[in-house]
Amino acid sequence: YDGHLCLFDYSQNLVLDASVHQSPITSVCVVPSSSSDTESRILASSSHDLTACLTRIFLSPESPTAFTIASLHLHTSPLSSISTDPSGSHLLTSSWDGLIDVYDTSIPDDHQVNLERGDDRKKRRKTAPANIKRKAPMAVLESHTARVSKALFAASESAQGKAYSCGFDSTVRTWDVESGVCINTVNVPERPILDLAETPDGNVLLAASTDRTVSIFDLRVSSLSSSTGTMMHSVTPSSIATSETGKHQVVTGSYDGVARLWDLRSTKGAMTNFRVWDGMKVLAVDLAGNVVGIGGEGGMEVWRIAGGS
Amino acid sequence: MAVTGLGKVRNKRKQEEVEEVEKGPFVGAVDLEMQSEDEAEDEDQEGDDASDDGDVDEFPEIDAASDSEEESEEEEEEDTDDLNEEDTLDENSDADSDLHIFPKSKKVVSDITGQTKVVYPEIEPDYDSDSSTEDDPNRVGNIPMHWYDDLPHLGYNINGKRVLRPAKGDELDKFLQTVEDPNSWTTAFDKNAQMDKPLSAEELDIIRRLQAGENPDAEYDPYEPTIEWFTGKGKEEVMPLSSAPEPKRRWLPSKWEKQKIMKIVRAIRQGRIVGSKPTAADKKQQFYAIWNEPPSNQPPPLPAPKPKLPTNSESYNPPEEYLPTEEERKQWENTDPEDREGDYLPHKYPALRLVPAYDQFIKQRFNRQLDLYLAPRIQRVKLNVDPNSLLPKLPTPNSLRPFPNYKSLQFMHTKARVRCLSISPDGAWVASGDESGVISLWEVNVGREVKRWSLSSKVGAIEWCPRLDACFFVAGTEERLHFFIPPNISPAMLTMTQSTLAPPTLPPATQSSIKWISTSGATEDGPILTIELPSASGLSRQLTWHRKGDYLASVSSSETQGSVWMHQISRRHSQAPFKKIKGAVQMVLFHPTKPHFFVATQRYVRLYNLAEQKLLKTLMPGIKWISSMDVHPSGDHIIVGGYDRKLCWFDLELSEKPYKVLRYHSRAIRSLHFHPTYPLFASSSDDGSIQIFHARVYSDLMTDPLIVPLKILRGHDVQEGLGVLQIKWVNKQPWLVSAGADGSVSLWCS
Repeated sequence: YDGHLCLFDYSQNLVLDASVHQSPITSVCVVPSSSSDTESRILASSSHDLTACLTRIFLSPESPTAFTIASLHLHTSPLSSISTDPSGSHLLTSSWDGLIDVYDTSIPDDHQVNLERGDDRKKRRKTAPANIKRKAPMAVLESHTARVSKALFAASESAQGKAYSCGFDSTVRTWDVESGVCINTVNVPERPILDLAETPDGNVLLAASTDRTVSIFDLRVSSLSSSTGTMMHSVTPSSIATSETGKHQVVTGSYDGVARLWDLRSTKGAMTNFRVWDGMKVLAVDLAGNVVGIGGEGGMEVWRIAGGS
Repeated sequence: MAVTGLGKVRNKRKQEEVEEVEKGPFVGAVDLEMQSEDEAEDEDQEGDDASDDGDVDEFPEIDAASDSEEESEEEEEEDTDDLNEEDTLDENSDADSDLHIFPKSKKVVSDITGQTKVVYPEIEPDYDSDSSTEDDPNRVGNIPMHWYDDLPHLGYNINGKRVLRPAKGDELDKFLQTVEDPNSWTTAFDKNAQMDKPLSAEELDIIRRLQAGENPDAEYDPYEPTIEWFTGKGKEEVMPLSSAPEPKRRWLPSKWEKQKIMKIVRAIRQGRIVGSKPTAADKKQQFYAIWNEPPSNQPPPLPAPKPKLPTNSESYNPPEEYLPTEEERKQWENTDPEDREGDYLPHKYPALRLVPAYDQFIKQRFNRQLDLYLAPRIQRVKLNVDPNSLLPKLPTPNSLRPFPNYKSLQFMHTKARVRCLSISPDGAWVASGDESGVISLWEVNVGREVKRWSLSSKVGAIEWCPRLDACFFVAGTEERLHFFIPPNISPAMLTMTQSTLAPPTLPPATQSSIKWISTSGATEDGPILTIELPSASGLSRQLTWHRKGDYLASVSSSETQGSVWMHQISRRHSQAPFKKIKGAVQMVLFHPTKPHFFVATQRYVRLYNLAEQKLLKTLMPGIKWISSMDVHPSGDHIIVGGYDRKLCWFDLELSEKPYKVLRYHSRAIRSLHFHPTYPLFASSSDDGSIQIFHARVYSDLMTDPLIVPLKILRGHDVQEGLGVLQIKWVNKQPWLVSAGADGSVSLWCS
């Protein structure tokens, strides 16, 4: 919430601290690059200041540096999420104004969006260096009637070019990114959805909503019209993540400071609870292998899932 | 003989009468003689009468048919009596003997001897005759016959000879006689003759009559014609039937009557008996015109319906389909007699003679007695009312989803209690202000503070502008109103907001005691515009926007005049709409659709028309101290809450009295809010609880609003007697944000 991007290694050392935005950052993702350069990565981040930024970081051991290389413009409301496709060529941003924008990750040569007002430009010039290129979206996906909370690309090869999004209008929509058309809409009445995740095999979509449930949507059903299952929580689940290796493992973080590990095959109750903080909210979780990263009001913690714990 | 003796006495008296009569100058001798003749003639009959009491007047047994004969006889005898009158008078005894010599003898010259002899006529036995004249060989009379039991004879005959006992057969003879003799059943044992005698036809007739209960006399005629003794001409009763003198008591005043009357007279004189006064009604005669009523033109009363005929099921041998099964019989027996369908169960009997006596007889008779005694048949000891049936039929809360039911997140103001909060019209941001002057802006969903403003004095009210093209909110502090722009809004909206609040060309300043101060250089860290209210107006307690976002009304906490101000943003002008207000203004509200303005004072809610500048209506909630109110988005309904725990629902079209009064909170109500889109409203109270109600308002005017209590949300702590101070609904979502005295702001999600 202070507009900084921080990079940590596993030994709890702060590697990099870069101030990217002036406003709270809502979401961040690593753009996979095809280049073999292991030292540099591009991070995409979305913020309340109506933009998303592409930041190139150089992970040289002695002096890691970060440069913001481009800012993505169009939204008129704070952005809620940003995500990339597996190949790293496209970005999806979702915003509170009900729009989903599609960007590519190439760095343009000049500004594609002109700032409207002189004093506004002056203000921005003061704070942001001029080498940040402003980018316009390739396409705008427009169908949601309320705030879009998450948009992400489909993971599986069979659903190439598709994207999923969810919002406070209690819908989960499937998009064809190329044409910018909404293919399918699933309506779950009176469940504003906060977060969305997809299993790596691309079969199951998980949506966390404010009525303390995580809805499960089975994408294999051809005409999906409602949720196929729910996982009940005691408090609001704020974030959800799936693992690339463990096929059925899901981690949800909730507002009581507890991260729960679920198995998709038994949705009755959580497998494990991590009580991370008392009285502080978990805002983001990630799952990589058997490592859980939990971010929230209390900081950032990494937990390792042992075999039986 | 008694009769003759009496006759002598009678004749003596007659003599005296006759002598008196002869002395009297006026009495004709003929009448007297006739009477005496009568007496003499019917002596045997009169003798009985004379022996009785003189008062009893009995008719002499005289045959009507023999009247004429008697007349002639009398005339004949008159002559004879005239002839031997002296003899009769002289020789009474002779006359007597003459009367009793009977029958008269005749002197006949005997054929044999040629001399006269006295011959008596044959005695004809009659009722008058002695029974001794009967032809009976045994003449012992009416004596106990066992006197002759051990004698060879039975008695003596009329000549004094012995009457020998007849031969008596043994039992076998008797039996044979009864068998052989066909007349044996009409024979009877004659005690006198000591033998069986056949009964005569007359005796059998008497027996038959006695058996039939008739008069034994065959001659008796029960239907004799009436004998009219004194009717008809010449037969009038002239003389008394009895010659007995009138008793003395008939003409002497009664001593006892006199005593009784004197007692009453004395009581009247002493005033112990007062006669009843004649009433006024008695004076005037009353007449009832009973025939003057006009004939009724109503139809005659209907005849009673015919009782239902018995059906097959009431038969003693009903068809099989009428017979109840075992379950039906059990169910019938288990139900109360009042709840049964019929009052009997069909039952099958193989024969009519096997049908038992009616088992309900005693019971029905008893009930009939109860009816006559005016006692109720059914005695219900207690009222059997299902308590659930008294509850109103309300839909279940589950069918009225969504509504907030759990606390999703909590935002803490660490320093002081949170007085006020407001939610942006797009439902994304919450601004909450506490008493230490800190205003925090945070996301509804995440609950992380994005921006914070610190003011010098405590914040009394915060309100977002309802405009969608501009985004700013107003915070009311001590004597000031501050306008803030939240960060991170789109450039178009930012410029619109800035031009609204701080236009480059200011409109002409108006004469007012209110100063509008624009902060030059739009900084995001301070207020862009400040309105300075007159001094000593105190904490601005409430702010409310008109729905178009141009007018803002503020209420200050001071009790003086001018606590209500109306601010117009476009003209940068403020005015006090009321010159004088009775009572302290608690709250003001704009009508959502009409140019009306609600003002809640301590006791009443007044509705003003702002365009016409007049008072429309005064609502009387009956609350001692109004704390809060809110108007339904349709504008036709208003809820008013008070410090005395009552919540009143008004239908503005209905009346000035509340349509419904809800008293669910245990402490004072602090805040009320209608949801802008969902049919929900919520009330918060000093008991630390928030109550959610479903309030569905129907568009047709016939149906009453449906108010269903849904949920009580608890989670705020009560500190220093203060609970939940303000609640606000999130636009477009069924979420509620509440600010409590414990410094926490909570988001309640569905």
